Amino acid sequence: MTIGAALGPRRFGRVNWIGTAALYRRETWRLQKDYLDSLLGPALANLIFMLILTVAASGGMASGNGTIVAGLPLTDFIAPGLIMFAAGERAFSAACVSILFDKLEGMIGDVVMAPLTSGERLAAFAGASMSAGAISGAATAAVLWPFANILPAHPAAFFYFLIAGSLLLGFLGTVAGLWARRWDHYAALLAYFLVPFSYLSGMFYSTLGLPELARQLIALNPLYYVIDGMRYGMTGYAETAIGPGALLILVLDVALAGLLYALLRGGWRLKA
Amino acid sequence: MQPALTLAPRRLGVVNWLGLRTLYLKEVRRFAKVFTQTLVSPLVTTLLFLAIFTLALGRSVQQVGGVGYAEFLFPGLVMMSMVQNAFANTSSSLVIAKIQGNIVDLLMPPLSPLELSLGLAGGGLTRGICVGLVSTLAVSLLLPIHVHDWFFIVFHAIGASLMLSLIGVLAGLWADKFDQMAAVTNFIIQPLSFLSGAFYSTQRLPDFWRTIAHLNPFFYMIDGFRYGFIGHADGSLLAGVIVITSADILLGLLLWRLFAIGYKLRP
Repeated sequence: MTIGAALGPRRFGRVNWIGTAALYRRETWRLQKDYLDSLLGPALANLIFMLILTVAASGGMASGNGTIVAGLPLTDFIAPGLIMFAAGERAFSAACVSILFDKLEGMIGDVVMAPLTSGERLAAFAGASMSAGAISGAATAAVLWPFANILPAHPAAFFYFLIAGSLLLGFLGTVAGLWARRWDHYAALLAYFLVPFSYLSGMFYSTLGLPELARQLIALNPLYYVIDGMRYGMTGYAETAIGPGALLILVLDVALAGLLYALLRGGWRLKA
Repeated sequence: MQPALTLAPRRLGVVNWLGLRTLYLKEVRRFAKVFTQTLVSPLVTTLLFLAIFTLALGRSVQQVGGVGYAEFLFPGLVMMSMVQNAFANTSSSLVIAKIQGNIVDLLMPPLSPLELSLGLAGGGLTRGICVGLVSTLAVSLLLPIHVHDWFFIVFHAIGASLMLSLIGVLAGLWADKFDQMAAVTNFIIQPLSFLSGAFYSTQRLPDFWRTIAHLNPFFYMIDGFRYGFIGHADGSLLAGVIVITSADILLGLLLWRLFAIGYKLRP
């Protein structure tokens, strides 16, 4: 081998697989490294949530039997929402924090300069936030295992909604990361957008007993369909039709992917 | 005016009032400047919790402690928010100062260990009280709020915010990294505040778990504060007053000592 060949530029085909995989690995592992905060923290918080709701609900029951929501034990009713919240919050935060951190530290050049197309960047970001979400969801599921029926009744629906929901929030987190210029922006998005939308999505209660107006408002929240689909996957119970819900999430995912592709291609808030 | 006079060193009395006031104002302005994060955001969280728990449980849980569930719930939520914010104020202030290196701004001025403790803790206390006032006012627009006993409301609001503010200084002194601070928040402060009986009456718990719940200092803060509103307490009110007062005094003395020896502050 001559020196010239060794120092020559790397050749790759139509898709830069090595580069995409490297970006995916970087985005996945940088935030999972502090597993204590990123995995155990949310899992513990969710476990506490479940305990509190169970104890608070049983306060109203004379016999001490478990509370029933829509024909399910309360724990089974809320477990899908908690798992989805853990996954979605993680997917959103992982994507947003990663890009914002790189921008603030001036390292975003590493991503922008690398010989990657916008599609490859998009794929790596999406894959990383999806993995982060799935891992966090799995950690929460493991912690809730002793208390609720975790084994999915319809595994296909369960995994579809877990992955599509994580993707949805991962894409939103990526857009948020591109948009944000300061940590304040991230904190505000979390407090005023992500948490209210997640909590007001029928995660903790059945919408069937709510006033008509509240039901209509919740029906406008896409996360409602994600959580409802997750619940169908785990317990077989659903409040809405699963097919249209699944389709809606798919359409949203594709639309957001298209938007992100355009943003990354145009270098919105990335390139001067 | 003669130049010599203006250049002379400033004379301080027994207490450096000007320095103490400056440190306190710095701590207050630090959170007041970003009030959307430090006052409005906790308010949104409190209202969200109130909404979801009332929606989830309002129908099955009719009466707790002699009042409706929402009225039972709100003092606990407000207290949780107050103490979490008091803790966040002092702990984040110190950790950020240590990481960014501007901790010298605290160590170099002529402030005694006691003045340092008071100035920092006063900032956290103020944030806790502000969060409590804002949240209570907002909730009072949604729920009928009755006051049963002002003393217990004021005492627990101040005592509990001060306690968590002091614990925040302690944690801020100890932690060297943000990760450690996040761990303290995630694994100590949040679980203790959530499992404090804010969401349910501890009288419903089995004996063993009730005893455990009553060992949690957060229980007394919330129980006493709630008594001030609804006139019903799960535990002993006197025990609560003693626990909070002694914890505040002991923590204050401990911090005084730690600042005096320069724990994790001076090489």
